[in-house]
Amino acid sequence: MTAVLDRLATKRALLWALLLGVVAAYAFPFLYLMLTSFKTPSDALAVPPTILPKVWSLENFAKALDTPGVTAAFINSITTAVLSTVISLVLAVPAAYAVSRFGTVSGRVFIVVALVTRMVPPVAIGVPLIGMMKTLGLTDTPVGTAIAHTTISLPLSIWLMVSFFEAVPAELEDAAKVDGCSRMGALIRVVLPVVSGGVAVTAIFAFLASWNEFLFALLLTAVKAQTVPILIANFQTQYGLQWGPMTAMATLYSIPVILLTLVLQRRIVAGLTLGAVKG
Amino acid sequence: MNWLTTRRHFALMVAPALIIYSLYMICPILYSLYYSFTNFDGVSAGGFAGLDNYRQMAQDDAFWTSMRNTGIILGIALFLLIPLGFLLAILLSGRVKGSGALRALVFAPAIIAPILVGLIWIFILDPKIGLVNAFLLAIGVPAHPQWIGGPTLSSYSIGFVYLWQQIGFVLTIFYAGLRMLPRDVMEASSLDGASRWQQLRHIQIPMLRETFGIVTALVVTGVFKVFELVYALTGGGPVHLSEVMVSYMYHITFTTQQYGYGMALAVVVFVVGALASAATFLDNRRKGEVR
Repeated sequence: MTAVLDRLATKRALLWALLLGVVAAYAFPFLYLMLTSFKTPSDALAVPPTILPKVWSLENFAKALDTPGVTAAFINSITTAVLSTVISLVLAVPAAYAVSRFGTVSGRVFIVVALVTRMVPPVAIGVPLIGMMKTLGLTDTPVGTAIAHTTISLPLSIWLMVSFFEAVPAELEDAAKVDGCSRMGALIRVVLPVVSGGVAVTAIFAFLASWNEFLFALLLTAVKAQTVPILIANFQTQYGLQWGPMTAMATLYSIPVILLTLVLQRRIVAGLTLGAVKG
Repeated sequence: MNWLTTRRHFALMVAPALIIYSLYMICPILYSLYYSFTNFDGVSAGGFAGLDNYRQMAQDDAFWTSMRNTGIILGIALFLLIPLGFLLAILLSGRVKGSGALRALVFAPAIIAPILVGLIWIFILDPKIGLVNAFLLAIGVPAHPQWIGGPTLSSYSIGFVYLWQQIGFVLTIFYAGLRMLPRDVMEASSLDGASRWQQLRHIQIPMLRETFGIVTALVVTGVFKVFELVYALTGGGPVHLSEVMVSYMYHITFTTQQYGYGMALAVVVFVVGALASAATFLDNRRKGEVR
């Protein structure tokens, strides 16, 4: 009996060790980026490299934050992502509600079209999009970039919201209607509070899509509306090889997102699986 | 309920999304499709060129290289990323302490900006300042492989980085699928003396067929969109040898300004991507019928 238990314990310990090994190997590249950001700028480029900084230093961060346009880029990233999230939600929530409740053929067609167009690489619509934004005077503005990002997040947002609305029993609205609510009133007063968790998940995804987006930001912004990913990529080219400060910027830009996922892990995973598995 | 009000409500609620989406997504797509038959260069209107752009493609070595490189990444995604993601999901689905935290950690790369993922891996893979070659040197291996930036290995490296980036996402979907399987089937089978391997082979994998289909479709679509990793890691070089389809399209369209040709490439990327997705979908369905 003890032998069996021992074997089970060993097995469990082995599994643990294996998992821990996998995860450590997995987290290492990101950890190494952070370690590099605490090296001195010249150590960041040392040949051969060392894993730990020889001297712990904040010089890379100081240099990165001293680069012209850094504050503006952070503000732009936030503005663009918030705008895009708001536009996505304002468009997606009613559309998804209509599709899930009125369930007409055109609604389904819309969803399928949105899914197929997701397969179109964003580069492909770059040229006409630049032309349109120029006509509207929206190039190099956060609004223009936010609209471009909405083309990415809108199908996903509708998709997610449809799944969330479908989980709400129709009896709930019927009851509200009996109590004298209009359709709109029922949506706003009864259904939306029930799916508020779903709206939050959808907002996170829309926000992340814009926060991390690179190509449209590259094509549609020049100086004024430049977002942080573009600024970081420019470290590689414009300012010569500023690898050290670049790692500091990358660390600063990804830490909030990683903290966000750790805190909201359950919700994000729920949204992700709902969107994917229900599809 | 009154039919008219329902119809009107539906239209009113869907219209804003539909209009914005048509204006900024569908219209540009149709424009691009049209450009692909012209020699538009962004300045002059450019004349109708018929199928010239598509003919040019057939003779463009760099295009075929980019196809091959996309194929390499697709291969890594299908034969390593998906099985490994599934395996990890199985390991993490056991009642292991702290598996939630582990799952969150593995998921993190999927939510970091792809351009930063590329940047992170420069410090690992770069032949000079990268850790891998430093490690090889330290253990006395004299070789100095050019993981990125060389003529041969770049696409494999990019495929590997793509695996690192996506595996948490794949794992999460499989994990959710595993959690949704009815418990009693597993319990009954272990009472009947089925081994863990038999359960996996004859119960879990067949029952997750649909999940496999979804994961495959998502992964295939994702591979045909890989861009930032190439942009950050190699810039497509040297001489376009590590270009993937989308990065080559970017180069043609925005660096050399051959809009017409670039859009023809876009059409081909879309068609190849859609065909690949359809093929995996049909394959999955056929396997389902065989069982």
